[in-house]
This record gives sequence, structure tokens and C-alpha cells, in this order.
Amino acid sequence: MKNLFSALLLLTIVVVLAMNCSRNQIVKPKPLPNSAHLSLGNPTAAEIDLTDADNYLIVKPQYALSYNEAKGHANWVSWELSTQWLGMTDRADNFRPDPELPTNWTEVTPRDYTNSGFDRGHLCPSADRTDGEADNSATFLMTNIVPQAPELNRESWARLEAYCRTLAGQGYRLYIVAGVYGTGGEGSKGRKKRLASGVVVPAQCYKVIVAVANNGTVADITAETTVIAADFPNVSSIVDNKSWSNFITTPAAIEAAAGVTFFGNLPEAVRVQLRGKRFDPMESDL
Amino acid sequence: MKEDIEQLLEDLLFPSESDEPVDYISFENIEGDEPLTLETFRCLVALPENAPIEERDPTSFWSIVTEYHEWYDDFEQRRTETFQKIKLLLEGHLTGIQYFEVGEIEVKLFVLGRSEDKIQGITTTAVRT
Repeated sequence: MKNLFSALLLLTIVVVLAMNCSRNQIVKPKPLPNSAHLSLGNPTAAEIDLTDADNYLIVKPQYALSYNEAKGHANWVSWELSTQWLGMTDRADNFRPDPELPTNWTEVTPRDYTNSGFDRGHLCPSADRTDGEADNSATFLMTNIVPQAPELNRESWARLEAYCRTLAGQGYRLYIVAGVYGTGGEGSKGRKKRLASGVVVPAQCYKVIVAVANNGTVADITAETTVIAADFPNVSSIVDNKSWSNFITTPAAIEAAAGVTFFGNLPEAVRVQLRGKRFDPMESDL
Repeated sequence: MKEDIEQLLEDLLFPSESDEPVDYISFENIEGDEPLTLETFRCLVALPENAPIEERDPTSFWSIVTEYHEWYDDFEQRRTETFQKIKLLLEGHLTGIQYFEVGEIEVKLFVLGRSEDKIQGITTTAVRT
């Protein structure tokens, strides 16, 4: 009797384990692709997992992003910038929905932004991808676009983007993450939490840049490597006519506010140093 | 042509990082029929000395707004139709059509051509950061 009971128990355990294993195989996300644009890490541990639609990883040749289906825009876009990515290609100017979004997800189109008072703000800029038509065109996919206050998009954000390209021209390899968090901004038609289409207007737009001298790679990053972190309110009246240097902060502060983690692929000792760095334009060698 | 164009331009927006209105523009009593140079264009439109001006093929303006794409909805389809009509009107009435872009980030766009003693056309703004 006792032997029969033990056998049945063992059988039950084996069956339950087998069922769990097969269930896990059904929902297991695809393995993380190897991408230069995720060299420093994955700020929200995004995966290609349909069950996590608010942190859905999309990896393209030109950049990687975490898409937030509920918000209708990315949480962040991550990309590598160096002179290899820069050339003479004209702007494609072809804003369009991203065909890589899973079927049945809401397709955000350029029309969603029309008359909203917010610009179609690039996270990965067009001018960071001028080495060819396909690369430039990829920056105009709506998954790379967020509702951005015009004075932010056209002034301090644009100038920080230009500064990054200047650094690239000086031989730096940059690892950049641009992202958004929060709800509610102020554009040319006043404060809005969402566009009419339902796309969320972010409250803050941030950018964290690691600039490695002499075209170095992740392996060359030390506690001395330059880090620039800026966090901008998506509010026209606050950012109007201001330099990006007014919004310098630390990666750690952005981590706390946005719920992200930077530099996850760096050795812990280096990561701890870099996340606390505050860029000083006056004292920097750059 | 002025009235026909202005009717088509009502509520029309040119898409870029923003969506900006499109206006009819004309300059009267213009003699000669040579193409505008960057300099004569600068004087015509009364731009400052250091304004960055570029002349480009008009196709680079029209291709953004006169081509249909498979994902287009009613809004984009109507906009495309309207821009196609404007293009036809301009090409039907004007000779020597030229396309100029002025400035950076907030770029003013001009599509201009000649008819009799006028230079006429349309102007709008594109936001490019």
C-alpha cells in the first residue's frame, strides 16, 4: 500500500513538473538578440515578449527600443553613434507607422500628432543616421517618435543632439539612450496628457550619453569615461530659450525617476561610478 | 490662379516634425524671365544677408505630399489629392518653377514660378531637427 502511494505521489510530481515545463516553453520570450545598440545594457530588461506589451523589445539594425503599447510610444531608444553612421544622405522625411509592431496592436500614424501642439520628436535623430537611405528612413518610424514640446524638440534637445555629433566627429564612440517617462506635457496648444488619438504625452524626456574616446568600445569604458545625462521637462514654457546645460543631471537621478537601469553590462564598480557622474561643461575636456 | 489656389490651401497643412499651413505668395512687376539665383531670390523675399538658402529640385518638395502610401487614411489621401491639384495648377500657370529652402530647424520652403510680370507660388515651413 505504502509503495503504491509513493509511486502515485512520484508519478503526480513528475506529471506536474512536465506540465509546468511545457507551459513555460509556450510563454518563454525569445532570446535577447545580440545588438551593438544594447552593448551597455537594456534599461528596462525589455524582451521580445508579447505578454509584456508595455516593455516590448524591438531591435533594428539602426537602434533598439522598448515599446510601450499602452502609451503609443517607446519607453526608450538606444543606439550607438560614431562617424561610421554619418555621411551625406538626405533626410528621408517619411514619417510612417512601424510595420514591425505586432498585429492587432494600435498603429500610431503621423496623423495622430497633427494639430496637437506637439512635434513629432525623434528619440534617435535623423541626423545620427546619414550613412545611407535605409538607415535614415528607419528614424522616421513612429516607434522612434514621441510627442515633444516644440521648444524642446527645436532648441535644447536639438542642440544636445548636435553636440553628440560634434563629439562623434572628434573621434568619440557614443552609446546613447533617449527615453521618456511620466504623463502630461505642455505644447503650443497648452497642457495635454494625451493626444486626441490616445498617445500619451510624456512629462519628461531624458538622454544619457557615454562618450568613449578614440572610437573605443564598451571594453574601454572606465570610471573616467565621459557621461552626459540630461532630463528635460516636456513643457514649452520651461525649456523655451534654454541651453541643454540647464538640465544636466546624473544617470542615477534618471534611474530613480524613470524606473530604468543604465550601464547594466558594465562591471559593477564602473557602473556605480558612472551612474553618479554629473557632467560639467566648464571643466570637461570636451 | 490666385483664387483657385487659395481655396485649395484653406486648412491644408504641410507635414514634417510639425504640420504647418501653406500660403499663397506673389511678387508683382517683376521684369525679365531668367531663373532666380540665390541672390535674386534673397532680395525678392527680403531675407537677411546671412540667411542660409538652398535651391533644390521641386521634386523633393512634391514627393513628400503628392505620393500615396499604403497606410494612408482619409486625412492623408485628401491631403495628397489637394497637393496634387495645387501642383497641377502651378505647373499649368507658371513657367520656370523653382524650389528654395531657407534656414535650419524651422525651414521656410518656397515653390515659385513666373507668369507675365509676376512671380507667384506657395510657401510653408518644415520643422527638421
